[in-house]
Amino acid sequence: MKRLLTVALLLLAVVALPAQEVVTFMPQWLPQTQFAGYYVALEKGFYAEEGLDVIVDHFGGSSTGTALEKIEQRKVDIITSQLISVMIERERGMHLINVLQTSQVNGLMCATHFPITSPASLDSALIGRWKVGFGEVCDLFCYKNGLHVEWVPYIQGINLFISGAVDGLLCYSYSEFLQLELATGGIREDHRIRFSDYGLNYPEDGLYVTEEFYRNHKSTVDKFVRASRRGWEYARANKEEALDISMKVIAEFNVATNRTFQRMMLDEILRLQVNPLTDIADYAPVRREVFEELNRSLIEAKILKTTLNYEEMIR
Amino acid sequence: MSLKKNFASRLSLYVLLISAGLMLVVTILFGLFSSSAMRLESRAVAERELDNAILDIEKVITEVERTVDNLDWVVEQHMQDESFLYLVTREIVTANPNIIGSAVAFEPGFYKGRKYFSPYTYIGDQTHEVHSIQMGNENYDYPVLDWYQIPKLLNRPYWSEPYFDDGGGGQAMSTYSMPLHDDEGNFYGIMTADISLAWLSDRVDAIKPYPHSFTMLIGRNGSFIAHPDENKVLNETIFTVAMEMFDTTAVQIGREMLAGAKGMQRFSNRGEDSFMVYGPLSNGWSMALVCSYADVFRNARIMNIVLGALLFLGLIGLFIGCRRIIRQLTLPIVEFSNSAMTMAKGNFKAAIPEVETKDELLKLRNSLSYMQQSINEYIEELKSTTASNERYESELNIARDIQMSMLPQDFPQRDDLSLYAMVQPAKEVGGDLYDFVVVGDTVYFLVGDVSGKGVPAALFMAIARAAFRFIGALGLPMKEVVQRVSDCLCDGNTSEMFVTLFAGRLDLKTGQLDYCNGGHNPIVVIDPDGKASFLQAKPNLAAGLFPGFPYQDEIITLKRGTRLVLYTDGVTEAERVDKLQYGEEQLLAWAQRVSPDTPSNVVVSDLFTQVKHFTRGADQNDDITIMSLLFK
Repeated sequence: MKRLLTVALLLLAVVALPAQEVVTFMPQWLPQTQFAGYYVALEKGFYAEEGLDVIVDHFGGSSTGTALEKIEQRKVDIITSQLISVMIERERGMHLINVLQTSQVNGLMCATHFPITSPASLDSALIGRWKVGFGEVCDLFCYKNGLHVEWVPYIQGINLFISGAVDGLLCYSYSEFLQLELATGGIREDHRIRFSDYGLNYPEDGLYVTEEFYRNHKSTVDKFVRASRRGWEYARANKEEALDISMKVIAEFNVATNRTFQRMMLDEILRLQVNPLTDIADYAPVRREVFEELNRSLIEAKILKTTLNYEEMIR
Repeated sequence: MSLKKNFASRLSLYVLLISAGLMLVVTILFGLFSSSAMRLESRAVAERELDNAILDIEKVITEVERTVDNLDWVVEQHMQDESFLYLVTREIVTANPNIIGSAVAFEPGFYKGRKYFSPYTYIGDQTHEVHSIQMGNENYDYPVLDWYQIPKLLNRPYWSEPYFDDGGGGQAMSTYSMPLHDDEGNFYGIMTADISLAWLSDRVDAIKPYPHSFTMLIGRNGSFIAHPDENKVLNETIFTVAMEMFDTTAVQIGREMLAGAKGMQRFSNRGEDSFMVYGPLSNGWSMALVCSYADVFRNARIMNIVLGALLFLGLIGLFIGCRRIIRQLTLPIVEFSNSAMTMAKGNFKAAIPEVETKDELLKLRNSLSYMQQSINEYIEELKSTTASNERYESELNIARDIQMSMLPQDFPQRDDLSLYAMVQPAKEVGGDLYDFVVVGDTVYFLVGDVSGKGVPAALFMAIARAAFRFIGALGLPMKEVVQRVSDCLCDGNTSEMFVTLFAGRLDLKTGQLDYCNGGHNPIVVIDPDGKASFLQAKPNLAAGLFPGFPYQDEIITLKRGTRLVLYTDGVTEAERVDKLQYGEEQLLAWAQRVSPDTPSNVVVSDLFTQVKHFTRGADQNDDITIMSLLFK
């Protein structure tokens, strides 16, 4: 009798649970601690607590696709992307809205085989750059300094640079640059440049949804943002646990990496999330003046043609 | 077993300690030399193994490179024959067991205007079947992949860093890529051959000079191509491992390996003392063999434990053997000791054990025997001497008795006279004398001291006493008496002995005293009122020196109650150990304290006691004679 009662109560509990809303989420790159906050939010049940059933899709573990393509094709609901990339896509007609700005500091760097004494050192250099994008800040840098750089597209990794096939490599301070450090035993101080040091400190990663999705599922977006922030805050407070959770996701996708590297990446990502104005990770939206200044620079550099509306993109 | 009581055990322990010390020193030195040699040997072994493995891999690499290089012209000549291109890649894969895939990848748009064209033949990882495909497409954009782009940019052949191929092979591999150029030198594509990392891992794992040694292969980007921990392959770099170990030496080794250096470094592999030999491959990779010194010394350590146990047992055996031998060797000493103890207890005839050796024990035995013989002879001699001494002593005692019997012991018992005298010789017999004779109311008395001591003095004293006793009572004046006694002593006195004397004659009715002092100490006179003084006398020579010497006497009258104290120089010259003498002053002081009525025997005894107290037990060095005469 008791057993019967227990089963009945369990059935009642299941039936009483609200139906979970399915949300597909796609980070812009392969699994790594760059996205630790989202993995934590999923693992710790923060999304579930908001009534969301989040499916994380890393485009099947391949590095040749892009999240922007997937969201354009409406194959995913929410993606991470970079502000500049989204601005460029908006001009192309893909209207995405920034619902959370995680990155507060730009992490783009360039590592070289030669000493960099001034911006002009990069002139005429053969430099590797991701085929899928991400290098627009360097375009701005070249434009502002009148540099002509020969780009070599590549998918991922650092072999292009290590082999000596290129003079330099665009890299992120939380990713390829750390790989270079671990592959070479250390990149010399004068063989690297950080573009944020040259007035190009534009925020990078953020959460984006289509205007359509935002309009129809605003509360879902709010829930996702709320749980994601919680995930990042938890990851900052519990780095090793966040690393454990991330390594589990990484293992699922058979990504060639290691814990030491991922720990270094998480440290750097969390550093880039600290707002230089407030000195805390407050996930502040992109400021209007920064947005507009970036828009102007992109137009000047002929990367964009039109002036974009701040309110339409930043929520 | 007390070491302090057991010579054999103690000596054995010393031998044991010295032996153990020497063995320890030898063992340490041997250990140092042998460990140094083993270190060198282990490094040589490791370097040899590494070189052999590198040669093996180089052989495969060269074969792969040669296979591709040799087909360069074939591709160019049959470029337009699409099926032939597939055939070439298939031939490469099937003809070469080390190659698991091969492609001819053309520049976008080069081959008949196609964006992607790359005939590719590979062996399936699971099925081991040979497949041929055209692998380029929008999702597999090979022109931007390392194996294509890097050799193109470098314009030379290139071995790719290991990667997991998802273009067809579906397995971890490394690709040899050779740029293709037409007759005019224009680049138009890449020809490749893939080798499996699994094969490399198997070959690398086979290098095992020591049970726990391991080999790793790293690419130009520091990532592991082969490693005993498969999770590290393609995932970790040598620097991530070094960072986990917090070991700067490992970081340094990583840098040297990436720089293509060949060498050897000692380092701590997660706390284990290890060394690593490393060397480059021609394609830019580097191989390293890691050996733990614990492994290298494993057999030596086992051997050391066995050796240590054997040494320990050997030392115990040495101790037991030494103790037994030493006991055997020292047994005669124990028997000699027993014999000596028996002799010490009085048995001087105790048997001394014989020894058969001709060494120090024989010398000891002879010495002991000689000592026993000497002791026995000495004892015999001592017995004889003792008997002789006893006889002499007995004779001296008899002589003493005779001498004492010569001196009158019957002191007069009269109302008008109290007289007492005593002699205490320094030896058995002495040269002091006293005498007295009472004839009617006259008393003749004498105290003398013969020169020298012992028997000669005693004999001379006997003559002097006999002469006085004979002459003194003739009624002659005392100067006559002394002169005659002197003449008598001079007669036949070849030994030139003499006697100092004080002789007197007291008329007990009148108190008239006739006295003569022949070179003797002045006597003490104590007046009736107790006043003491030395009695003045005319100077005379001692008796026995010159025949016919004219002696002088003096006559005084004593009051009743006057006491005369006669003595020899044994009283005034009695000495303490510190050479202080009793002296005339103390004698006179004593005399002042004598009560007038005290009997003479008490006075004499008292003076003896005073002298004895003064000398504090020091040996008596001269005869002492004291006479007290109280005229009442």
